[in-house]
Amino acid sequence: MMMLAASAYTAAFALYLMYQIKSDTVLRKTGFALIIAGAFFHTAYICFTGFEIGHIPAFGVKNSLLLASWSVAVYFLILFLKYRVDLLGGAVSFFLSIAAVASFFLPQSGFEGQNDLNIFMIALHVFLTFFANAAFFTACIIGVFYIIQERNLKEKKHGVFFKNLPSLEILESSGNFCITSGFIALTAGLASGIIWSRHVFGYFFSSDPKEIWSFIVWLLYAAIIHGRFTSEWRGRKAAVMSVIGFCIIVFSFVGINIFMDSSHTQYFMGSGKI
Amino acid sequence: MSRSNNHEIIVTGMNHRTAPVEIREQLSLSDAEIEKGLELMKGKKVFKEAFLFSTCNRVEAVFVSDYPEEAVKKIYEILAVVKNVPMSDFISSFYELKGYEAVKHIFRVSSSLDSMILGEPQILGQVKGAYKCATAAGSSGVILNRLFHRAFQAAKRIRTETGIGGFAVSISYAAIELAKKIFGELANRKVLLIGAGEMAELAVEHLVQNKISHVFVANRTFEKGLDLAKRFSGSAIRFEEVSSALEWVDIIISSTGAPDYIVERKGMKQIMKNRKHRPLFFIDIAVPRDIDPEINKVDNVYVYDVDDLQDVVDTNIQERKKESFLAETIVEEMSQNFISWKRNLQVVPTIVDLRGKVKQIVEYEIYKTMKDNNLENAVNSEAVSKMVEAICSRLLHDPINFLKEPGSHRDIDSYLSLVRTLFGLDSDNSTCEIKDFSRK
Repeated sequence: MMMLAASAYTAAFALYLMYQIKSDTVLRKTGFALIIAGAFFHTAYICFTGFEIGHIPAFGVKNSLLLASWSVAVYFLILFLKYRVDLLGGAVSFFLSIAAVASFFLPQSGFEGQNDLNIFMIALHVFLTFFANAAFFTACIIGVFYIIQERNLKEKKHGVFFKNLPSLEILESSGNFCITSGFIALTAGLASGIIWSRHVFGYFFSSDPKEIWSFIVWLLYAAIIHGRFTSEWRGRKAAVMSVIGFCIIVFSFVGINIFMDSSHTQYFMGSGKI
Repeated sequence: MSRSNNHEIIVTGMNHRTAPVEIREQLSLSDAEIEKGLELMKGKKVFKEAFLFSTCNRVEAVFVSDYPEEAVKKIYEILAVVKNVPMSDFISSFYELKGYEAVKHIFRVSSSLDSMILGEPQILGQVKGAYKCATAAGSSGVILNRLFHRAFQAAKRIRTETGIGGFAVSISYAAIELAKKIFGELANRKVLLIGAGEMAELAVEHLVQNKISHVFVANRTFEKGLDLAKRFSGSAIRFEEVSSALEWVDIIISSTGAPDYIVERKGMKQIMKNRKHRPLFFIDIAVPRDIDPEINKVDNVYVYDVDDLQDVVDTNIQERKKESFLAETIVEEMSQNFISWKRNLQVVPTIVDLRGKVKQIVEYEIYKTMKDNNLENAVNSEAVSKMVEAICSRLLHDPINFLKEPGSHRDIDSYLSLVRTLFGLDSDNSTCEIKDFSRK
C-alpha cells in the first residue's frame, strides 16, 4: 500500500518538476491527481496499520514519519479547496515522496496500548498536534514562496519561479490561513495532552523539555498571529516569521527526540508503554 | 494548362515582412471586398475551394486547385480588380506556398507564430472571422474545412501547452501583469492617476477592464483632471491631496511633466503605517521620473519606472521566442498529420476502384464455377460472401497499405497512376460476361 503511495507521490513530483520547465497545465493537473491518489493509499495504509496494532500508529520513527507526511498530504488537499498555489504541489510532493521512500528503510517498532480512554485521548492529542505541524510546515513553504516572489518583484529580476508563483496577496492570505488553523489545532492538541497527563500521571505539566518547547512554539505562533492582527508583521516579515517558527518546531520535534531526555522520546523511539 | 491531379493546397499573399506598409494598406480587404473576391474565385473553375484573409499586416488567399500556376495568376487578377490596383505594384511582394509548406503556414499564422508581435491573441479571431466568410460564401469544402479546424486546434493547443501568450509584451500590459502578481485580483483596488499621457491612460483603461473598483485622477489643472476622471467614470482630486491619497489607494500611475519627484521617500514609512502596511504599487511612466526610486526599498512598496517596465517587456519577448520553439514542433506535428490525412483522401478513390474491380472478378469466377457444378443456390450464401471479402482483403492488404504509406518523399501521384494503369481502373476493357454479371 505504501509502495503505491510512494510511487504516486514520486510521479507527482516528477510531473510538477516538468511543469516548471514546460508550462503545460495537463502536467500540473495530473500531478495533483497523483497526490490525491497517493493520499488515498497513504490513508488506507494508516487505517490498516491502526487496526492491526489497535491504536493510532504514531509511535516509532517510521510511524511518526508516515503520520506526519500523511497529515501534510491531507492538509495540502484541504488548503487547495480554498487557495490555489500551484508550486505548493511540487514542494509538498517532494517532501511526501522523500518521507514515503525513507519509511521503507526504517524498522517497524512494537508498541502496546492498554487503556481505551487513554488510546482515545492519545489519538486526539496526536492527530491535533500532527495536523498543527502540517499546517505550520505548509505555512513555512508558503513563507519561502512569499520571500522568493517578493524578491522577484522588488529586485525587478523575474526568476524561474516568477510565472508559476501566485500573487503576494494569495501567498499572504493562504499563509495566514495555515498559521491560524495550525494555531487552533495546536492549542486544542496541547490542551488534550495536558488533560491526558492529568488523567494518567496526576499532574498537568511536567517540566519535560518537549513540553517546554511546545509551549514556546505556541507562544511564538501566538505572537505571529498577534503581529499579523495588528498588521505590524505583514508581508515579508510575516513570511520570515513563519519560516523561523517552523525551524523551531523541527528542533523541538527532532532535536528533543534525539538529543534530549524527554518523556515523549520513548514514544518516538517506540520503546515506551502507556 | 499544367495540371496536378491532386487538389493542391496553395497559399499566396503578402505580410509585414514581404510588403511595405504602403502596399499593405492599398491591398487591405474589407469584409465586403472579401465576399466579392470569394464570389469571383467561385466563378473560376481553377479554384476547387477558396478562402481570403486580410488584417492590417497581411493579405492572403488560401485555395485548393488542380492548376496551381493558373490559379495564382487568377488571384492576382482578382485582387487587382477588387482593389483597383495595378498588378505590377504588388506582385513582387507576394509569396507562394504549396502542400506541406502551405499547411504549416496556415497553422503558424493562426497560432500567431507569424505575427509581428509573437503570440498576440487577436489573429485567431481574425482567421475565424475570415473562415466564417468563406463558409457563408460556400467557397470552402472538405479540405479547407478540415484545414482550418485543425488550424484552430493547433492554435488552442499552443496557447495551453506553451507559454507563448503568457508574457505581457507592451508596457501597459506589463504593468497590469505586475499589479496582478502583487494584488491577485484587481477588483476592489483603487487607482490613482497622476498627470495624463497616452501610455498612462492606456494602463488605466486596462485596469478598468480588470474591474478595478475606482479611479481617482490628480492633475495640476483641476478641470483637466475632472475631464479625464469622467472618461473612466472616476473622480478627480486636487494635486495637493496626492500624499494623503496614498493612504487609501493601491496602485498609482504617474505621468506628469514635473522636473522633480512628486512623491518622495520621506514620510513614506508613516504612510505605510497608516495604511496598515497594505501593499502599494507605483507605476512611474514619467521622464523625468515622478516617484523617488528609493521608495522601492520601503517594505511592501513596489516602484517600477518606464525602464523597469521596458526590461520586463524585453525579457517577455525573449520568453515568447523560447516558447515559440516548442510551438513550432506542435505545428510541424499537426501539419504532418494533416498532410497524411489529405494523402489518404487522395488515395481513397483508387482504393475503392481497386477493391471494386477485384471483388467483381472474384465474385464472377465463383459464380461461374458454382453454376457449372449445379451449386447455384449456394452462391448467395453468407459463407461465400465472407470468402469473397476475405480473398479481396488478403489479396489487397499489402498494395493498399503501400498506397496509404508509400514512405516520405515518394511521389504518390506516380504510384497512383501506375496502379490505375496496371489494373486498368480507368480503361473500359473488362470482359462482357463480368460486366453483365455485375449488372445483375
